[in-house]
Amino acid sequence: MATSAAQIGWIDYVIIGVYFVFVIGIGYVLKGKMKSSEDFFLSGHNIPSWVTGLAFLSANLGAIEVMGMAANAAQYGVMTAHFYWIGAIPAMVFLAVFMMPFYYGSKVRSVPEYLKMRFNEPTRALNAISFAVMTVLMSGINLYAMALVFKLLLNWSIDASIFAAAGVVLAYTYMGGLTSSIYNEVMQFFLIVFGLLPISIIGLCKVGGWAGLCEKLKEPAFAHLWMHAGTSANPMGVDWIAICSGLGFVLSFGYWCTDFLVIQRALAAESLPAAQRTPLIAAFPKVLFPALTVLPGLIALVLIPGLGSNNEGMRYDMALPLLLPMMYPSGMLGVGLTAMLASFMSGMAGNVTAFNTVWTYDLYQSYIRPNQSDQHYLWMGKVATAVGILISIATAYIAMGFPSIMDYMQNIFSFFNAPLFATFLLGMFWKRTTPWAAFFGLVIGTLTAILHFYVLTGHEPFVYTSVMAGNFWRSTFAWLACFISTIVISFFTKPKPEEELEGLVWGKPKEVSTEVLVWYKRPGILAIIILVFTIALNFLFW
Amino acid sequence: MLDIRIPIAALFIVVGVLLVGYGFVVPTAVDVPLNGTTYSFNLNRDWGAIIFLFGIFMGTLVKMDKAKPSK
Repeated sequence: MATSAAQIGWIDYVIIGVYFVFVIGIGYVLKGKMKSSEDFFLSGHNIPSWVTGLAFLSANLGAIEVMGMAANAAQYGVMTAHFYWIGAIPAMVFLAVFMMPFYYGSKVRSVPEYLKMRFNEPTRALNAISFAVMTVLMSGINLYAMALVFKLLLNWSIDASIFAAAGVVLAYTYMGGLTSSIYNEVMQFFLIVFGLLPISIIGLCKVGGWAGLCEKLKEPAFAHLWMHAGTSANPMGVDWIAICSGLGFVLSFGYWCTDFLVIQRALAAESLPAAQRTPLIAAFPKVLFPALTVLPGLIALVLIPGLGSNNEGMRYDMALPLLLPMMYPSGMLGVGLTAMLASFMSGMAGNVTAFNTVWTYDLYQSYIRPNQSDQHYLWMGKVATAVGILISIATAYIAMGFPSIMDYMQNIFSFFNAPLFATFLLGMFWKRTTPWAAFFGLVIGTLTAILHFYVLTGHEPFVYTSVMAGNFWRSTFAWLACFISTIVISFFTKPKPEEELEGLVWGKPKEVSTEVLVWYKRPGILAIIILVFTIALNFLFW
Repeated sequence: MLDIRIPIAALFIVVGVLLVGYGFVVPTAVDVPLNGTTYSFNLNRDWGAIIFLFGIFMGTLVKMDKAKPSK
């Protein structure tokens, strides 16, 4: 038997080619089903919850998750798992149990549309514009990350990689809309699991198991989640207050509870209980995902000398891609590369399908060309898909200018998502919140984040020991500014009449589900199980 | 609407067959140390078989659902 080979061979290209045939094939098969704008943008509300659940997870499983989290683990250690166990699961549970009834029950087609119903047109327009900008900026990250990996591993041209991947995503989202994107995300989820799991298993054996890995890490703090979080003297440079407030509350709830990219997947579900189960079904694999991202990052830190140096090919972002040729022979290398391609493409397609919906429903139909036929909006959705992908290509080149994927992403989130969560929290749970308070609160929150990033950071007391600490604190300040200003302005402006708030605010339900469900389909029971499991993991890796 | 399990089953069966076939034709060992002993695995063949079985499992779920009487 020959020894392990790291060179890409014909079999790897065949596997990547087979994957491309399947993703485009799904788009082609679904093409004939896209008869109305609702089919294209919302999948006709008829997708089962296990499919929307896995798509909910995979839409978020782009370059940031797969490459970024492995890079973070190599840089900050096990504390990176905070992005899952405190930075995702609680927010996903909150979305499912408390917020989904408002989103799904109010029959909105998008998150900005909810803001219009709950508040007013200006708040919707502000959110729609900021969301459209954010999605195309985020979409470009995936293209850039993919091109970087394929350039460094296989010496493919950056430009050719960007245009080829964009072309494939365009083909299947243009033909099959949201359904095609969701279906591909589910397939991509399984590919990512099967393509990356052997790296964790083989890698863990190579470093002597978990105990051997902990011994070989350069700092003991790299192996603990909370033990060194009493102060900011830990690898991440953040204390437990910043972790809980910045990441655990503002950033995570801001992303998982208000970002239309993920919520769109739940809105495609066939019923309210199915929509509520969507984030919970996603939470079960999500809680285990550190095994596919954080663990390889730690393994890479031990097995790859010089990782994290200034050399472009050795930057932290390359932790996981560098492990592929180390662990896999030709053949499995093709599966691993396909898994990475799948993650980049699902991340990009998720952003593009969310962009085309918000553009078409919340901007084009509302302000540019109202009262057109449904076929016209279906056509515009397809045009927006193509334009969104072209803009993503441009933003891929913008992302190249940032030192790391994570810096770029957290910047964007702290500007847009952090204040938005304050608006939603007050809007859904305090009926006194007024339309103009929501609008100006959002503006003030976003301006606070911009002021903090461009003017205050680096000056006392806004000096941080890591970029991540700056991100967490900026999000907290932006959220607080939005939250406080919205409350204050609410007392001086006119609230909406209570009868207009039915189905939009806590305590004013439109309809109550009377469906009797078996225990494993009940959102409350699923929520308790996943929370108990998450708490146990926090103790296990204390 | 298309049952997503069908393309998943087809893709995993195709990729599984490719890997198992390649593993037999071009056997490549991956050494995995475990408890002081080093084991050699033909990763393409072994993991390819797992991928293939997952494809069969997905296909079986579709078959079973089709065999159920509709409500």
